[in-house]
Amino acid sequence: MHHMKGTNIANKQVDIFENLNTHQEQLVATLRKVCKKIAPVWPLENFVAVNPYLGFSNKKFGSVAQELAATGGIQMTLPTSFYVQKINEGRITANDIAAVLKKRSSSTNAQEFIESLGNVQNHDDKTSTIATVADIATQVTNKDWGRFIVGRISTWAASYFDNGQAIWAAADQESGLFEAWKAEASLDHTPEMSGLKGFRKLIKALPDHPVAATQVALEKLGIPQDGMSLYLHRILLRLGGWSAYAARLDWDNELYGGKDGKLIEFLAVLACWEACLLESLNKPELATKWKGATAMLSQVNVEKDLNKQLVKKLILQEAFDAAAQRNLIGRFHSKKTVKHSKAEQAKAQAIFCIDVRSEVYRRNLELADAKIETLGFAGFFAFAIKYVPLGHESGEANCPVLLQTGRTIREEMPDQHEHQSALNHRILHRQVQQVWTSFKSGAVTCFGFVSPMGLFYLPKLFSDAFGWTRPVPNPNTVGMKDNFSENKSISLATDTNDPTVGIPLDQQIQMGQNALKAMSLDSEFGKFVMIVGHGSTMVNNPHATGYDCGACGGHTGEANARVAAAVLNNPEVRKGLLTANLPIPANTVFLACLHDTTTDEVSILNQRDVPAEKMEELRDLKKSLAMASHAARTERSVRLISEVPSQLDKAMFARSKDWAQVRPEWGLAGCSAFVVAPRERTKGIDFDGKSFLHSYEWQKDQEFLVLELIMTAPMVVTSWINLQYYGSTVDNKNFGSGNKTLHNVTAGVGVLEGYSGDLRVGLPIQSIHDGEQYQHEPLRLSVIIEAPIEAMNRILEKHEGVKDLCDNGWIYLMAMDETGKVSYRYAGNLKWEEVDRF
Amino acid sequence: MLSLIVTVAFFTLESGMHHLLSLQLPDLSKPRLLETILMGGILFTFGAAVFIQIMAAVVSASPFSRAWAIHLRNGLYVNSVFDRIVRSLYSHGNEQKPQVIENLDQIKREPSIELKQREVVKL
Repeated sequence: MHHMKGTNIANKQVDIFENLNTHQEQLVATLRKVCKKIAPVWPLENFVAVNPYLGFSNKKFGSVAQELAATGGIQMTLPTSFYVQKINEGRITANDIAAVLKKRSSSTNAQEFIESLGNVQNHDDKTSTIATVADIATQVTNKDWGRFIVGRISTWAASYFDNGQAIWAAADQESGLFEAWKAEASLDHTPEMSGLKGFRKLIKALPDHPVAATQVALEKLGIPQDGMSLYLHRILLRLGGWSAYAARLDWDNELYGGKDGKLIEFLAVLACWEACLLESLNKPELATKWKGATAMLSQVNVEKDLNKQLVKKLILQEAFDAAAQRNLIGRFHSKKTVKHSKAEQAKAQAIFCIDVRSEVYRRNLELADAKIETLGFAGFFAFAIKYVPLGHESGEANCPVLLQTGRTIREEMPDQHEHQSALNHRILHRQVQQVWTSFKSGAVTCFGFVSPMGLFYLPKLFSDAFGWTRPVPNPNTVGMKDNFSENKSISLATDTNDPTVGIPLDQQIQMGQNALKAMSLDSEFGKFVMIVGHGSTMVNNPHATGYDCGACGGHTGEANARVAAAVLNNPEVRKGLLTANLPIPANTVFLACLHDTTTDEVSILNQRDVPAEKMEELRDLKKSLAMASHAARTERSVRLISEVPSQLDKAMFARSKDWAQVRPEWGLAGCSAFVVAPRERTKGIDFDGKSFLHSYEWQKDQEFLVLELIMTAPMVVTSWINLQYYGSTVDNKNFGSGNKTLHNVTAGVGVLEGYSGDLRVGLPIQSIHDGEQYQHEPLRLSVIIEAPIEAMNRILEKHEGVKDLCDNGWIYLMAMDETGKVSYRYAGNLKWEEVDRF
Repeated sequence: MLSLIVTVAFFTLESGMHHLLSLQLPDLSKPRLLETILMGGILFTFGAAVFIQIMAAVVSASPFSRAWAIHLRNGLYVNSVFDRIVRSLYSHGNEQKPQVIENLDQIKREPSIELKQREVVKL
């Protein structure tokens, strides 16, 4: 293959789906089906929330719980004791349980059911899974082969998937996944030194093609046809983290029109390991026991709902969901109706992200000044851009991961001369940093470095430890002088060299129109319209991007807010919008703002766009923002700090630069509801920062196109977030990332817990539990939409994926009537039932 | 430029410390054979580490260098030898053994309360 060197990577990696025989094609179909059960995980640089049950939404919640328990030992509810405690606290009532039992056509009395829980022992929550060779081998040899395999594959995967963390990549990243693994495994002596005789030889004897190798491995293992997908799913779940990472590579490839295959190749690696382990141990006892285990595969496959213990826990979880809904619906019923009166132009309209953290701030901002209105909309404000920060070559996708990026937007300084000097400054800064880092860590130079320079790092070590300085500069402002950071803005101008850069005027008008329509904001504009993106500030936190805006693809909403404001302030665009019947008053100024969710500060990014005569109004607005920030911090501190300190604001700010802080903020912990309605319906209701809020007026929505958008995009994404928290809470071992204090960043893409083991997905335990109790209680998302039921039904009918989510118990859908009360509940299969009046 | 500053800083500090401390410290004694061998060995491995680090970036990816990269990344298997010696793969106690489904009754364990099915009345 030496003559091939120099050709590009795409050519070197063979298409694994070409030239297959019929049998292999059938196998690929099975493999692909199994691989769809693994939800992707995004790397740390844009750690967005993913529904860990993504591949299962077409199945009932309960049967998925059964399947995952048998294949991966995965829990989908908390232990019974949690629910018993909630019953004792009165959170779950006998009525809630009775309703669930009735729904399941069980004649068991709720009281009997509750009494039976008293004698539940903890061993109820132990699960047993279908066997792999490694499991049986562990029983036979008393050596933990499962852990060994995970360790070996994880070490290799960290090197193969390395994203710039390693100085020296040992794995051949240019080859195909399976090819690279096989090359390494046929050289690595570790398995043989650990007691697997002739392991390298067995690997070498395998076919080079991943599908052919899988075929050989499965034959050697003797997996029956009807137990095949169960078994394959089982071995994927053993390395669920790296599997999810491979699934993410496939996801991105497919989004941009490419092919999948990475996870199928990874599965080939896992199957080959199992087959070679079986052969290399070569023990008669193992062979007999394994034969029994393969026979069991077919039997388990037939009997689906076999775990009766689980059924009871599912009933308890459903009752817990029902109790929370009862509470939520009650809040709407006891709310006094606010008269919708609009005598004068609002001082400001603030459009926030639908994020649950905005709810706290919005409520406090409205209290600070009654003449300020707030709205909720997905935090990318319908501007799906690719954003290139100053001095960067390539951009980042600032839009939901479900969407392809649109136009490329470059950061710039408004002044040409200043732009050049800022650019040079930043590039020089980066080059010096790079030289300095390579100097610090070089094999020769590091010794020369420590003795003369080491002591000079001592003051910074102290000041960082006491929180007087920020341990690392903010990536947004790194290498920028203060005045540069203040003045920077974005450029909408098109570039003749690159047709994807900038936004032409006609597209600006179209995008502005779409955004305003989708926000139900088409008249009665305020004096200011604030477009508030959000982001977080924290240090030494590998999961920091998980606290940023998910709708902006795990980035802050700053760039999107800047673009939206620049488009809507453009006089040419306003002229265009006038013809589209969207008259924006001349005195309305759009402000791009950023809400820091860690400190609850809201900063205005484009103050230079405010004309001099409006400066007084701006000062007034800023005063209200400062008041709201303080109030929001005070409210959040109750959940965050056990003893309220004397200087509360200072304590909250300190969390954002404390490198030992495992909970800089609670993020979206607690999220359990999503309300799609005009703000008057929710105004004055305290949702404790646990509800997503989307503004929507169905009367303005002709043909229900906006409703369709809401139900297919924000509703699905909020459900992803909710289920990510759910999964991390009920089974932190499999769908969470364990203890944050033990995290080690690996390959620049994810974390390991400790020094070895699988890549960890999901949220750390510190993000959902405060050490005494859960700060995120496992509740499935309750969605309340104010819209006609027929319109919702039509959308459900059209989008099967969304209907599956509602039909199969992944989200609860409810309808709000014209008086602002929750009146109907979706009962599955396009049928609705009336909600009981309280 | 940067390297010049650091080099000057290094030698200034080293000679400064020498100037300050040389009167207080005893003279170097002549190393014995064992010490010489040890020192030589350490210097050699240090030199080798430097050499490998410089060469790794320059040498093109040949099968030979790939193989060595793998062996080196595995720490020349010193860790595996130690793992074997301390029997780290062995599971201690029964609780660490994976629970696998050996028969269907095992998971079909009856719940502590039977959920009675309501009789369906057919009209």
